[in-house]
Amino acid sequence: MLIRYNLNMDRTFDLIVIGGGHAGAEAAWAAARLGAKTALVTMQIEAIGRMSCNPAIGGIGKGQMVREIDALGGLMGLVTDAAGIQFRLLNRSKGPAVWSPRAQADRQLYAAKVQEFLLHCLNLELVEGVVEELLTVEQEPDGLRPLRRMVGVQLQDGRRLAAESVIITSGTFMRGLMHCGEQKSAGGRVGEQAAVGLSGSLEALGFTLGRLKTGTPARLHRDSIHYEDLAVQPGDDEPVPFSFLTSRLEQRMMPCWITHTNERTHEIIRANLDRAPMYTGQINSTGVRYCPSIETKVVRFADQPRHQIFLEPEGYDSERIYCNGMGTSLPVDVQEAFLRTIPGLEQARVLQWGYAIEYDFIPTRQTHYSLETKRVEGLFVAGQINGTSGYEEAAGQGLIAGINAVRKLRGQPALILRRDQAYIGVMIDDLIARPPDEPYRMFTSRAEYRLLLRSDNADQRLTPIGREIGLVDDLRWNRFEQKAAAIRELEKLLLATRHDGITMLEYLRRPEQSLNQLLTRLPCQLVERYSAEIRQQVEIDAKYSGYVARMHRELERFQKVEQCRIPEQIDFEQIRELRIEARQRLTAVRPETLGQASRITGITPADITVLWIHLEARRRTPNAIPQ
Amino acid sequence: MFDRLDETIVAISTPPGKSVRGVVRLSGPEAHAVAGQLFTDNELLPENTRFPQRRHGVLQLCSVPASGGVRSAALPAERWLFYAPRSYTRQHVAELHTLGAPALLQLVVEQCCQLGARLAQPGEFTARAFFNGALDLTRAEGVAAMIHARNTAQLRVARAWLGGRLADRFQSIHQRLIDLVALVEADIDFADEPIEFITPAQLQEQLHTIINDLEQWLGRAQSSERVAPGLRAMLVGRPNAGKSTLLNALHGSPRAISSPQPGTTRDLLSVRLSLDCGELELLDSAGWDMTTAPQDQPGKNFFFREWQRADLLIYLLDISIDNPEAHLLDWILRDARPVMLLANKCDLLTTERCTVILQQLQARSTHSLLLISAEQGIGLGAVRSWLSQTIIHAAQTVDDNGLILNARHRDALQQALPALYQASRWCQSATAIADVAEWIATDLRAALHMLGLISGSITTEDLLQRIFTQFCIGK
Repeated sequence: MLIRYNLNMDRTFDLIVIGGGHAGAEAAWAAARLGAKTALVTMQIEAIGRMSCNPAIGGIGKGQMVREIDALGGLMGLVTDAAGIQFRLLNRSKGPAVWSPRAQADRQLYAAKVQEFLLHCLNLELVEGVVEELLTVEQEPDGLRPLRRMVGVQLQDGRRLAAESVIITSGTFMRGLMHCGEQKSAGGRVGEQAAVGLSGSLEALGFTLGRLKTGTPARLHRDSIHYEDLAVQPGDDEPVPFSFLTSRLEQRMMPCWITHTNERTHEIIRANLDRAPMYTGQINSTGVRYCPSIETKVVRFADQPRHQIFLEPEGYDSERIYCNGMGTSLPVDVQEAFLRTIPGLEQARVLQWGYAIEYDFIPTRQTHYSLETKRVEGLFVAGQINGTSGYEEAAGQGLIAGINAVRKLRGQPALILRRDQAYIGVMIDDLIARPPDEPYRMFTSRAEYRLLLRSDNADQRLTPIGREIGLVDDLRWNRFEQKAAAIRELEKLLLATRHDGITMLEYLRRPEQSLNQLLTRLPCQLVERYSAEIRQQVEIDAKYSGYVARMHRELERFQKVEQCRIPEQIDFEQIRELRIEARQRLTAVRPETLGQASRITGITPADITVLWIHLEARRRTPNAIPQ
Repeated sequence: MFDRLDETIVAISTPPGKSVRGVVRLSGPEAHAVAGQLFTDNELLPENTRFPQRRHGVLQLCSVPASGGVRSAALPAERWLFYAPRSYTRQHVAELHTLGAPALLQLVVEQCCQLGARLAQPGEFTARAFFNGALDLTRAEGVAAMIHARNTAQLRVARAWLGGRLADRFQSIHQRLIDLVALVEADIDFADEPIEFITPAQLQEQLHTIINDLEQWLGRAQSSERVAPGLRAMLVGRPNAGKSTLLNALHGSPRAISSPQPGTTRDLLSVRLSLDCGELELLDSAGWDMTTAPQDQPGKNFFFREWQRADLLIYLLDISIDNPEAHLLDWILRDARPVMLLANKCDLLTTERCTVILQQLQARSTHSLLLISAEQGIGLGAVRSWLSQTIIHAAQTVDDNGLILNARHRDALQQALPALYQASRWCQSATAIADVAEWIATDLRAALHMLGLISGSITTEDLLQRIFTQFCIGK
């Protein structure tokens, strides 16, 4: 069918993923596992899965997302468990709703594991090359479809690959420009070239591109640091894995160290601010608020006598130490000078200087909730190109883009996770309804249903969905079903046993009661059938059951409106009762449900009611109201 | 708001102001139950039947005024129960018919709320009727337009309200709460930072001041609303100046009988006028020879009392008569309230003549002055917008008595309080915020959501912004 356009394609795929970072890897993995003939086009196969910045996965809010990716049948959890060198469960002192797994990873091992998974993945081909142009054709206008659709990509070396679906996951590579003091150099990462053709191709297709900035700190040689002056930060004694498939983590664990800047460090930085690209105007794109450079911290929080720096090993055999908390784009000689003032780093040898990087992104008002672009049919975008920051955010989007690209090819409806289903759903909803103007990072506070979206129950929430769409294989599904059955059984047992006049399950809801204590009252052979994992899950579920039930009731009430679908062909401009501003905003975002519409910046509850009435009227007589 | 069709809503459904009979209406699954509980006899009525039920009974009311103590009252009332789907909204509907005193009706509504009903939003009964299929399509657009207008109006009034002194105090409470939520959220999201964002004792102390402020406020607001349900505008003018014609034209339907005969209107007539930014009560009075000021009239009558209570005056002048400026009387000119002079019947004169009269009037008066023809509908838009402006102005200058702390605002505050109490209890039991942060955050955000209904909702971005400006966070 493509031959009709006479495009002289060299190869034909169902789907092409551009970029092999964390978004690209998940997208390609998901698409291929769903049975689509997939190509992952990357500049270097050995750079697939590379961690550009800190050698860590997870963290608060982010760890929950990794669990979700895993529960849906994604890659990141499995790889982290295989490549982790230190595991910590953050927020352990608080309730399980905010427990967040985090791991330090061996950079080399991490990338190698991703490559291993992808190389052995059926239906997936890894192609080395640089995409020069997106190939599209016009299509008959029908008032609904975009005017152009994807047919493939053109590589720098002249090869043309055909596919009806293309996912761009270019990270920081599109027109990447690195700053180190006054020095500027083009590139997507240290030592890797930038992608220039892609930006031009997107602009030619009519996309508006924006510019964002992020930074990375220096890497030091591990043998040049005086550890005796530093506080050690070990991992958890009983490391908790990310993947629901991993039962135990057996690898050797490594510690991190903590040091601090001091007044002398700050003096040197202050004296050289006129040479910091962020302050001289050399960089004027938006930076990350929650990941400020050391110069920003010194300027904005002038009264703080010191700032924390984590020294994180990049792997078992790696000589590189990552200085977390010290991102900077100051010139090399200034970096050198202030480094010397920091305890433990007086004689540190720098293997790679810190730098800032500016790159192109596609502001998300041009994107649908499915992560398909509005302008070109079959073109999907995921990861930093959508203005997010972080591996986990990228991976979550990659997974969804991969799934939805395949579903589109098959004529199935897009998978759009709701805000009460997953952090991934919260993230994509935020991105589309309130397009961010700075790199977007996940926090638990972004989730209004935080108590539902826990890291412990990600499998309960999402594995059935992953199974339904075909991404959860038999191995994972069987494990899930066994676990679910054991949970139900233990709950039944607790429900059937009375203690102090109420059932044990009710008893367990009291904050001060623990399951293990309660179980001592039951016969041993009954109790031993349930693993610690099962017991913990039952206990957590019981503790939250009150709040969860309340939230579900609340959700049910809103569901009717939340899920009320807005027909694709609706013309908001024709709804006269809507305020002009509301019409414009709705037209720009094109929400698919009333719930989504209600979260758009500047849309009031009254607007939603008016829209709802309009939809109801349409529903009753589809032909009476002209469009 | 409108999405919660399964909640029971309540509102006064008779026009504001005193009348012989007042009706409070409820709609929703619990409508019958809530209505039943208000009656002393609590007679059980059929749960479902085809026919409306009507019973006489005694309403048991009690109130807890801010001044302390408990007041209770027993009122004769009639209870009408309509059964789903044979009702206006196609849900269970209950109507309580009793005396038409605004304060009493308000109290009935409050008691219904305590029993689980929620105050209806403007247009909500009609919207329910529509969604449940009781209204046909031709009215759908009308419903939408009405909700739009009412909500825009509310928004503007709320904004105006939020521009005044009262607003500063409310904003400060809201901001303080946002700050607290931000700190608790920070404790969750930035647990690996070496910062103690807030201690349970500090949090509890701050919560207590917020709770105190809100409680005090609610106490005052409750009493104030019963006294002043809204602005009243009074039409004043000589007989046959065209007051009733103007009232009909502004209201859009013939409420007052008007005729070319002077003295057609004998008693006082009141209509509710919906304007861009709110509503006001418009009073039409019988015209009288205005040579003596009302306060100097012998035997201060009903008209005088209404005149005294009016918040603004609309003085209508018939300029088709000779020497109209002579009828511009001193007591009108001296009135300290907002006064609008309307030079009516301009359609009967030439443009030149109108200009001359306008100049003569302007020379004598500092009040707003407009040339109109009530009969022909000329200049009515300007009258409406002047009234709107006056409402906004009044809203901005309300003092601490909280004239415009309306039912919805109060409802929001009342729902915010329990969440704050719960958050405060969590603080009590904790040695570190970390122990209870997730629970406190849930309650505080619920409270914040309710306050957001008054002054606009806030997003996570707002919270994060606060954290990032206050603390050095991030690696």
